Amino acid sequence: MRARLLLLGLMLTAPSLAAQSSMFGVRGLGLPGRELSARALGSDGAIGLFDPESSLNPASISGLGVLTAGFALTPDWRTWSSPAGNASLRATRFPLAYVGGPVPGSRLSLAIGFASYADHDFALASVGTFSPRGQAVTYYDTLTSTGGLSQFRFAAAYRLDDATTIGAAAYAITGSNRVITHRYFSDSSYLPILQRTEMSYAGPGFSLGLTHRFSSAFSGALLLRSDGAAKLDIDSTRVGTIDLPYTFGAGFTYRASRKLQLAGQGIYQTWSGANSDLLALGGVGSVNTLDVSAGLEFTPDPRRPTRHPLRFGVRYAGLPFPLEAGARAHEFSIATGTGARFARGRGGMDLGLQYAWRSDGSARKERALLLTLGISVRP
Amino acid sequence: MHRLRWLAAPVIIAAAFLGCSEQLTAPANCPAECPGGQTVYDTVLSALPGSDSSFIGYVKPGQGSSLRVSDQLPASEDRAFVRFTPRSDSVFVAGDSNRAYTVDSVALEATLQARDTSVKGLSVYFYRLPLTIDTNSTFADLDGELNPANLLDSVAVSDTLIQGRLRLVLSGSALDRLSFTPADSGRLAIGFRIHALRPTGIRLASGATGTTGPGFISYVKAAVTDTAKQHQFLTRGAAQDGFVSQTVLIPDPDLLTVGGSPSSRAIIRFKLPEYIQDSVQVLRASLELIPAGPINGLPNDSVQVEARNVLTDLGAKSPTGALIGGPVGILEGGADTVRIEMARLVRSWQGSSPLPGAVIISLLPEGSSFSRPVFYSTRSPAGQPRLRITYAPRFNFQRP
Repeated sequence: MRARLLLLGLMLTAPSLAAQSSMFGVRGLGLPGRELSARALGSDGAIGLFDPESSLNPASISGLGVLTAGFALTPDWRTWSSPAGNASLRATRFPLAYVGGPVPGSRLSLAIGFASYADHDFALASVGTFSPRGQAVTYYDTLTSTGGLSQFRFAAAYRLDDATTIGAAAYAITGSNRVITHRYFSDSSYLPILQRTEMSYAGPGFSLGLTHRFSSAFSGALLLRSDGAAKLDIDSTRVGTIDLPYTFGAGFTYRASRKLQLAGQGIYQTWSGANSDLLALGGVGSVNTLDVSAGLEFTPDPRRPTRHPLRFGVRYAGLPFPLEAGARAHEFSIATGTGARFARGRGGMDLGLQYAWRSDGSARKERALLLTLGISVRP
Repeated sequence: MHRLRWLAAPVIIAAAFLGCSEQLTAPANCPAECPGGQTVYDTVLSALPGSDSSFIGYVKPGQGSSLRVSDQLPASEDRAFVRFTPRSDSVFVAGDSNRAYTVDSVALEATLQARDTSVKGLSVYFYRLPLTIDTNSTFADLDGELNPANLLDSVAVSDTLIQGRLRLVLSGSALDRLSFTPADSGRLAIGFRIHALRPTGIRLASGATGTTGPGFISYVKAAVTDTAKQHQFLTRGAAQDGFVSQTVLIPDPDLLTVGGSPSSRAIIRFKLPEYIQDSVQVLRASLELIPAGPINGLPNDSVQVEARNVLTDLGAKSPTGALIGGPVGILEGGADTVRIEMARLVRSWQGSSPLPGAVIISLLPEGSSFSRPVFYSTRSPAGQPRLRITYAPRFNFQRP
């Protein structure tokens, strides 16, 4: 019981519920979160719509055979190169936390959890000149944002029969950014600028999910999600709303052999719905995104499928918020992972390792190494 | 369960350790690649018409840090005087008592604070003055006493000396010139005038500066048998000092005068527009004062103009605060616009509890230098005082 409380406490007091950070997440709402567990990230998301520990598909929580709590921890190391310069970056996030399981004596499963919706952590340093009095003055800017949007999910899944499960989830999307801008001048006659604000967001969301086993080898999953408009407040003053996207997802798993399972999924998000709102606020806008991943899970010992499985995956995804108008940012990544159960299956640990290449067709490029550690407890 | 306990510790440690490690700062081409947006504007405000004026009488001669002495300097013709605290007729001998003494020698000292180093052959003349000379004396009174009959001696100032202690030592028969009558009660008054190869002026440290002020040191032999205790000295500082000017200039009411002696100050008032008053961040504020003519003074002397904020606007008697604009150096003969940087001061005019939008302009050192710059006012047909403000509106945080 003490260990259970300890892990639950750790989950609830996690310092940040953001996903990976990226320089391609400085615009708009940031870099969208992936709501995936370490297990799903080991296949780069290919099994995400089926993974009960991920927060993507509400129907998938029926896969939690017993009451389960868990969280994920993701440190990342990135290199950023742009015409303005290069940088080595690092951050650590807690992108996922959940508690869920079946309702005893019923076909119903319930889960609650937090997950990152969009990460907006960055610090930009730039140099420029201006000539307010006819004489050029160099200035040094730092724009720092910490925070992002998180989602609180309440999900329910109902197993219609042995093959089909449907699910639904409601989301409260909320979060805040603390933004600080600092400007120094080379001419000490000019006093530094220091301004700060807090931007807060709040919006609802709702999703429906389905998993269906077509045969002993082939299963499919569907996801439909609608997020409402996020209200944007700056220092407690309403400045506008930003439409959040519809999400359409489909995936499959195919058991090619007793030891090998193949999987794939695609997620389409209508982020362009936010475009007009972002443009109205003076931003660059947003575009729809397609996120496609494929992977496999190799189980060395089919009798003990949770003992050191090997996962691999590849992924291509568009990024919704371009840094500049007309740019189309995307990322390509490869991933691997494994996991283990111990304490007679009560404890679990999964590892996912991703390497991502991000670019937008210009000289701006980012490479990221992400290590995701997932801890789960089944009391 | 035991294994779960084993697991909890490293998880917590790892979470805490990794959670502390962040490096998020990256270079960027802003504003193209950056959210938000910072704009900076520049505007010029005129002083409130008719609300600027000069007032005289803040620091009187001798109340400042310097005593002015000059010889045919166009800026001002001045003579200085010092009356020392009384010298007692006995000296205290340690381990003994007060003893009578005889004077071996006397040193008269003054500190040179400023001079025109381009003028060579400077000499400072020390005169003994009657005790009737005081702060009420006129230039004619003092100048009349600085005659050869009262001359103690002079000190030739090295052409390379810019600042330093001047020391005149009198001994032997020269001490007769410093003898006291019973009516003197040990009080000595001396006056200064100077001469050089060209008209010039100097500033001597006044008694207000403390130990660098004028000094009167008597080296005496005490009437004691112990020869080791016979040699004593008595040091006296200024009880009163000052200087008098041949011409006391009265400020032109249509112009803004600062400095001089007695010193003048100018008050200038501005009203910030509402958009600056409320929400912008003032980055730079330059008060621009245009001299009505070449600034007079002592060439090569370091003089500055400063602006102070006003806590309550009571006109000439407005109490000033700790916020200072400038100070900015001015040069004798200069006619360029004087710009006083006072951004922090202007920031005190903003917000919900603003201080009055007024500044007091004064000269440093006040009541001490030869400079007396005169600037155009709002009543002048051109060259009125103005405030140039560079400011940044609120960062456009909502621009995503």
